[in-house]
Amino acid sequence: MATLHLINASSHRSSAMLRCLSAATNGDTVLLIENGVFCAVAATFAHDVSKATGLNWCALIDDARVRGIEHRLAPSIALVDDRAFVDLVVSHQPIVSWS
Amino acid sequence: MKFAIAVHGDATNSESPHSALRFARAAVAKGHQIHRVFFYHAGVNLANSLIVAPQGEPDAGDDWARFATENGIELAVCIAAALRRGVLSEQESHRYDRAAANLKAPFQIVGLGQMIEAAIVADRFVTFCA
Amino acid sequence: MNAKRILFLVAHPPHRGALAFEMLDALLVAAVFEQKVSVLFSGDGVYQLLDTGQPYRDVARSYRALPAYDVNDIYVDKTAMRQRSLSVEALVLPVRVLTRRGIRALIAAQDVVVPD
Repeated sequence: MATLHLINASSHRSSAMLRCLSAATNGDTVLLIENGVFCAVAATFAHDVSKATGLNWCALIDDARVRGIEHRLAPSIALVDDRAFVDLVVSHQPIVSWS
Repeated sequence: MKFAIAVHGDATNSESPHSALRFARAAVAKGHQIHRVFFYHAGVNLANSLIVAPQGEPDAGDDWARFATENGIELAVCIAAALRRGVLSEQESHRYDRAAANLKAPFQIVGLGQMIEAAIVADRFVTFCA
Repeated sequence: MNAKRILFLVAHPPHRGALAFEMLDALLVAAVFEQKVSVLFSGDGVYQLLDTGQPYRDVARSYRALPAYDVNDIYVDKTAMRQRSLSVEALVLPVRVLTRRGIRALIAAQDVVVPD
């Protein structure tokens, strides 16, 4: 079963994204939550994640919306709601949180 | 599925209490069970009944208390982490001769073993970091 | 119930208040509960195993006790060590060095990962 990675910090505040990328395997899913959604902003994402193919990228829509960046995200980021977050947890193991 | 949820941050410098509660609400709405919510590190501060949230701001401790009571969910607070941060049940307050107790119902003081028990019993273990 | 595979992932340096000791406490409890416990030190977390030579109780000294709790699957991230010019000889106990590939395989094999 693939791993679900949760990142809750922006790539400027923390090395969480870098550490996650070096630990994630092809087929894993990365869900950006809280201030982690800033990693999904198009220019930031293109810079930080250029080499990480093979991962599924998601962001919590409510966290992007309250930060006013819902429409500024990279096109490959899937916006998901809380119920979809639950579904992601069900379909992955383990769940690894990076901060 | 049975979930175990760990909360590592408190409401003053972390979003983790709010994120974890949203997740827990969605899990229950989808028919899943929450075996235990374990509050560790600064997360124990959610159980401090002396906290006064400013008017108009959400009160994470109250929100968790209400959710747990409505759904019969165990809110477990690590005793060692709680003592360090001054969150005391009546028993601990007497044991350490402190002026007051401040554990908010229905949070319960437990040993760290309850976190491991939750990891063992649950199908999924999700941590919300500070 | 079968023992779960629980990985404790230490990614932050020591001396962050109580956090390092609280992580260690959780690890020891998992070991006492006879789970399949492993621990990976990566990023600045490798500094938690640095032999500081200090006379007082520090996290490194406490981690030295892991084998006594039957925790022998102790890993360090090869890249993290190299980026900090650390060799395994500088650490307080024997460890297994993992490459990126090894870390990916380790994480994928777990039931539960506990972050610090």
